[in-house]
Amino acid sequence: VRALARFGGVAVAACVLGACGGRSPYWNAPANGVTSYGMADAVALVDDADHRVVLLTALAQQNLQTTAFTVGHHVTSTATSADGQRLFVLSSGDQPRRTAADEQPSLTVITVDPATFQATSKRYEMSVALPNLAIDPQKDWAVAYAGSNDSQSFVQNPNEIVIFDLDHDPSGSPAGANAPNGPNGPNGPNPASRTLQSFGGTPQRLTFTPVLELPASQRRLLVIESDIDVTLLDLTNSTLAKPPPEITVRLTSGMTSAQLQPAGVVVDGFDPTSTDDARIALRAVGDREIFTFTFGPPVAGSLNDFAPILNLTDVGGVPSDFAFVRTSAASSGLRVAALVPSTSSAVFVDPDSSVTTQVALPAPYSSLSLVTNVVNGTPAAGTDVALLWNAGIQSSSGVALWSLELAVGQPYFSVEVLGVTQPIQAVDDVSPPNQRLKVLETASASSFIVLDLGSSTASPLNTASQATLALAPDGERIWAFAQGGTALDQIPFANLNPVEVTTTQPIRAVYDVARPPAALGGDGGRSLIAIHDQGAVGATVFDALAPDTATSRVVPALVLEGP
Amino acid sequence: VNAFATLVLATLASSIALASTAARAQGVGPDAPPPLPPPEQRPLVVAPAPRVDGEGTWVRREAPEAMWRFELGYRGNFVTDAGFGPFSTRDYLGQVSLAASRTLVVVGRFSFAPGIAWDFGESDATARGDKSSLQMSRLEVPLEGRVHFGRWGYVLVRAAPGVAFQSAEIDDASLSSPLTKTRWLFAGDVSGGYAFPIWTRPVRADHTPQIWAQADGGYGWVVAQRLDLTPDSSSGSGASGVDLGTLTMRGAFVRVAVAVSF
Repeated sequence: VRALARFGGVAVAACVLGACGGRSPYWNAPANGVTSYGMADAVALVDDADHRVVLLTALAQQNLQTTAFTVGHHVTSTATSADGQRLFVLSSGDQPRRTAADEQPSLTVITVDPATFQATSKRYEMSVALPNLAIDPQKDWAVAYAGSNDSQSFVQNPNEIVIFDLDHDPSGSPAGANAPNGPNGPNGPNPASRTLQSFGGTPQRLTFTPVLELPASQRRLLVIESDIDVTLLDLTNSTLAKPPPEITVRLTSGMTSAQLQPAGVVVDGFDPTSTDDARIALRAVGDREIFTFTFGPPVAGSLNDFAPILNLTDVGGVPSDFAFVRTSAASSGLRVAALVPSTSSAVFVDPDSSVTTQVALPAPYSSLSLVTNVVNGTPAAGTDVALLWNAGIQSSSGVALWSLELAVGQPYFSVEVLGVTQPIQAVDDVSPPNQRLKVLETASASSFIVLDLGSSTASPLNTASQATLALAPDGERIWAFAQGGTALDQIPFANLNPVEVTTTQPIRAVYDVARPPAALGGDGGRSLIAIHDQGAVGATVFDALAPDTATSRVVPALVLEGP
Repeated sequence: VNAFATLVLATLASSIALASTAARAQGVGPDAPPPLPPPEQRPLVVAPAPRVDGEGTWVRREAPEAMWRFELGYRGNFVTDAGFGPFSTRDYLGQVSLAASRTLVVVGRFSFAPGIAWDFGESDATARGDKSSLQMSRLEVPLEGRVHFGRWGYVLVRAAPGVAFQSAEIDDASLSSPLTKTRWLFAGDVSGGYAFPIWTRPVRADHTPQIWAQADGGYGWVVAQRLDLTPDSSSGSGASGVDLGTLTMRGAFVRVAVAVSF
């Protein structure tokens, strides 16, 4: 009996001591830090507190399927690819690492296959935590960089960048089709870390060029704008075991203490019929000059097989926006079109000869976008048409179509002001098959306009309060809602008649996503997922093609699954 | 739960006081002949007959008493299952414990007393900002073996099969009504402990109640259930549920109780 009593006492004490651990800290973390991102066929909820991404895919009957993927600790940046099929989550890991179990910085790439609707993830470990991420529109590369964010370390090298080759598996992953990649293969490690040469600047903005026809061969370049200069990096060879060094172009001569800060870069697209069409243009903050780069053969001793040639052109005022345009079918028709609001004009710059042509405009437009392929009628072969907008809050100039075929020498006949009187703040592109449409967001935010470039019509749609717009990726409709409100309207581009539905909870964001086809257990339709901040993040799901509050479904507590 | 426990404790304390007062008022004492229990309530008592030791002296070994016993206590369950996380910040569930038993078999200083027991407890917490709660009731049939040590009480070993009623609830702001799931599940406990008489009657055969202090500890187990909580019909047909995984309410427990026996 005494032994039994002793055993019982020990057992009870052990149970008491062993069972008082408390629950996972995950349950104590409020869900208000969850952020949402729209993908082509899913919605991603980034739940940093639980170190995971919850992927929402739409099913029939307004149901949602959730799939969780583990991501690195302490998310610093999240982005989606241009086609919406990939989600990139950059994490700083556990800093400082105190135990071997603490995580290194990493990049997690989650890909949703558009054919199977299956999602997979891949993680690239990094040796240094960097807060910013630039994504290649062609999905081949991603680059992490320090940028202007506050340093996370006691000492940080702001010129260190990490290049991710997204077409290859990370170093150390199981051997497969990408086995040659790695520290012992012909290529260097993936990702590859390198420090950019610096003349005092630090990287601020990164631009991935399309394939360029350089003197030796075709290359893709990474254009890195620092706060005082610009650097060109051979991206194609960047993951070689011994990559060529980058080329830094200083924007000032060194004869003055004044510094120029780059404000934007444009790149001329690849023309397979031209062997020397690689052109890059750059503008600087508060500067009247346009910097154009052409490429020539390398100088002796250079490890690169090209060398940039810089031209400076004064355009008579500070340019607000610019683009490469074609003013004739001939290759000599390539120009940089720069808008100069201070003179209500545009200036054409020949990138090779720096010859300029000024074109007066009816208003001080400050933004342009090319709409060559969607305007009514067929422009002359090889010439562009630009949409001009954003002429200032006080202006009633609205938007204008600028036919570049007629521009040089015939300025007023080349510009057609469309029937929009409100100042335009932003222009949203519509996906095919309605790419001829543009959605114009007005400065007052009390209305928006659907501009049909095919028929040159502009249909205003008024809103009771400031509206947030979301364009459907299939190009068939637009959704409008008020942040924090419960009203939601579908506007089909077919007739522009709003269909109003409501939710019970305030809306933070809406996403129009595809449902799997019948062969994959779906019905091939589309769903509208309205995300709510309340509670553990909920959603109201509508049939995007036939929205009806009566058939909607509320899906609560999306991030409340076990850790 | 606390209010309920307080009420039950007060009721039990007052009944004990009334019983002892009544016993004194009836003048029962050492000289009063002990009434025999009704025939149908007589337990099976197999007590050794008085015997003569080596010196020829009569030695009396008293057999344990058959008794009705009612206990009220507090049961602390230590639940380490991850499924309990949404409902508790401490991995701990406190319960009010009520039990009644009747000695059916006495053999020497051993006895066997089956009974019926009911434990009730609730745990509240927040899970990622959502209010959450879990209620659990156990209805069990304790089968208790006892080893008696006279006025020093007895050691008990208890096995208690039964059922548990679990009700989980999450109140998410996305819905007008909470997400719930309720389910009856098989359950069972095994435990061991000690019961000590803290107030005894003057005469063994007296029907005046005895009061006991008791503590036991052991392991409790409830069949796992999937926590796929669903909204009720007031949320409309277009509301989905949430799946919190699996909950298995198992783990060590301790229980302290006061009991009264007749």
